[in-house]
Amino acid sequence: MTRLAVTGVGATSPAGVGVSTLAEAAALGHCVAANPISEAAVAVLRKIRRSAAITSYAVTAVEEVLRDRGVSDFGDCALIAGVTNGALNFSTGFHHTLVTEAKDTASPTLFSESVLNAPAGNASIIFNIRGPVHSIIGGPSVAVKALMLAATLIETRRAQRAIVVCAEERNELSSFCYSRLNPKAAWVFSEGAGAVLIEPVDELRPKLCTISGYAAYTIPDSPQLALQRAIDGALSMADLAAGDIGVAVSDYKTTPLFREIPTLSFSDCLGYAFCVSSMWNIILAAMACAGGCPVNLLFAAGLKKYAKHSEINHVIIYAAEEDGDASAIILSGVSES
Amino acid sequence: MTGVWVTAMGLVAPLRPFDTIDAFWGALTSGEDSIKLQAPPLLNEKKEWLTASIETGQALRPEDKFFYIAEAALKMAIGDSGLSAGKLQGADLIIGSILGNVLSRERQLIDGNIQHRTAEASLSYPVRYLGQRFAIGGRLSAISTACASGTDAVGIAARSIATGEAEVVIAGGIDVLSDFALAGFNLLQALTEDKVRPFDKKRTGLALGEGAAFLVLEAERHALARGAKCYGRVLGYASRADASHLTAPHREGRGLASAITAALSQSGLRQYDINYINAHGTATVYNDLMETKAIKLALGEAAYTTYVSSTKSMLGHAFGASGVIEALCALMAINTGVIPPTINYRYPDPQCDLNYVPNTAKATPVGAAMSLSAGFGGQNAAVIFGRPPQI
Repeated sequence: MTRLAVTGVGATSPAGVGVSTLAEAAALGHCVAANPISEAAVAVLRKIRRSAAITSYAVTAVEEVLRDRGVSDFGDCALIAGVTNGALNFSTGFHHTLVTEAKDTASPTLFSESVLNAPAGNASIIFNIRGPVHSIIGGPSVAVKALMLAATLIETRRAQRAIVVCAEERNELSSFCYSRLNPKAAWVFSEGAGAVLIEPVDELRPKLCTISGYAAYTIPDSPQLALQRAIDGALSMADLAAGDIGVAVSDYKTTPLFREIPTLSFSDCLGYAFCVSSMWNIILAAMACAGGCPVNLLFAAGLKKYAKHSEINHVIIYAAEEDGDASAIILSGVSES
Repeated sequence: MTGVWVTAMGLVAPLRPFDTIDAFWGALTSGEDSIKLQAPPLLNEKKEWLTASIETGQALRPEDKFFYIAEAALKMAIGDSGLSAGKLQGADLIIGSILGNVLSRERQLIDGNIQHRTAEASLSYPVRYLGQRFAIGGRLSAISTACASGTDAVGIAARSIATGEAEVVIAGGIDVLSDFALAGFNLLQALTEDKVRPFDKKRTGLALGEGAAFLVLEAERHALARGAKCYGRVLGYASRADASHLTAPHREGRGLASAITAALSQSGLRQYDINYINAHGTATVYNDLMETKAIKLALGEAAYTTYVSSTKSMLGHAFGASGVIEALCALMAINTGVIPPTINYRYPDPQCDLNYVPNTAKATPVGAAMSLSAGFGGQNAAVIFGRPPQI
């Protein structure tokens, strides 16, 4: 089994562009979820000036990853995108024009840029990524599933490295639908993107953390069992016991599973951005494992309060959906690898 | 790639409602054209469009067709597989689709009622619904890589078996005709008002279609242990990006050639070993030229002795479903020794100079067949099938 590391991170969020703003917002804990993402900050590239917001967010996050890592050749790089709803503002706009006006008045851009793989396609074009490019669709568990697919591509030597990006944009229809599906939940919908670069562990290559284990399960009749199996699967792959985990991270949809382990959630601060929320959790955990960022203090504070470890070693990030889709991933600090 | 068998198939496609793959194959290899002028699914328009539509024979609302054909095709595949309920509990399901049940969303807008069938419009809903409906208990995944979605679903499924992650994966593709797609492709000037003539000098574009198809992929050991039949082995799969343009293919076929080369390398076959290619073959000027260049780039001189045909000339372009439908056609070519034709072919294009099996099926042994897909976003995918071991 090839050992993999997170070697770069990037984010676009209501806190602003960049992982540092994401980490600062998470550390401060003030709710920024409703903040608009500045168009000026994300629309930096002419090629995507007509694209949907989701594409701008994804491309901006990927750009930060690549800048962070300093890689320039992407011939053997894979790009896996996780998407929940996609460019719903464009597709709804196109549909609306069809229904209310003449067909010929609709903009073809609303059509072509609304396909679910548009964020990944545009990112591959802009950054000349020519390896496998996939877009997988689903809720918050899709972030880990995308990482798993990327890991398989590296393991089977179909790619030397892989960028995994999750992106989502706010949309009235999806906000309404999800609120209606769960009227008791205090949803604060959010948007943005999160991206990570994963590569085989190489002692000479800087890394934020290693990926120790992951798993995903779908059990429609029992979401809780699916989540338990995903966590057990990730622990088994990492060869760890639950007691070895220092911190757990999830979103506010998920009931904390561990009594002895502090479970952090950044949803009150960053809002709920579907699959992107899980990717933000992964990014924040990776940064905490690497140390030296504001959010690290939050993770460390949690550790001191609840656990015997004095420094962050293993962090589990998990996500579950009411339809029985669940996933978990364990990131380990560099000292543990 | 070794040890991956295709042990069952299910399909609902245009032409006419068929109960069996053999009936579908008989019609296809006899060159039946399912493309005709039809009204759009939901919007009340005077204009008719050349489309390949599935006639279910049921009094269905248009927005119910997606799940109707999906269930029918999956039921056929599961029935063909002979998998027990216990085995299905451990199986994974992966579905490729571009638009999902897009007609449900259109209906919401037409009715002005966004509360209507909200969940069904989501693309991740079909895989969850089908998983529950057929008690498929493994991982459920939805992939959307534009018109390569179906081929990628098959390839990713095969890879997860080859790496030992799964023993049984059901891979499918589903998409239906919609006003959304008709208007979109029309605005992109990709639709023909003539016949669909892939690789013909006077080709003018594609006709949209619809369909649902599923393949049951199984680890060889697992299939042998339960005495399953084998339609063929998955020998290679690769996906590569053009990194060029969102809606237009790379003019020299860079990404597709790279995908073919990588899939071939994985299969361990040589260029001359591929007897048949089921082409993406949309009949747009740029796709067919690009695809011809890509095949020549990847296969060299062997490109000229390999049969290449486009079943979209008869079935239309079924979006994300087309990759699985065409994979099934490649497997049937191996099993029957008959290559389906490219119909409506009249005028050879000097730039498209391969053997496109014009108008009439070709009877010839097929040891290995490849299916190609390309799509928006610069997506390209190639999957290679080989003979089942008992043939």
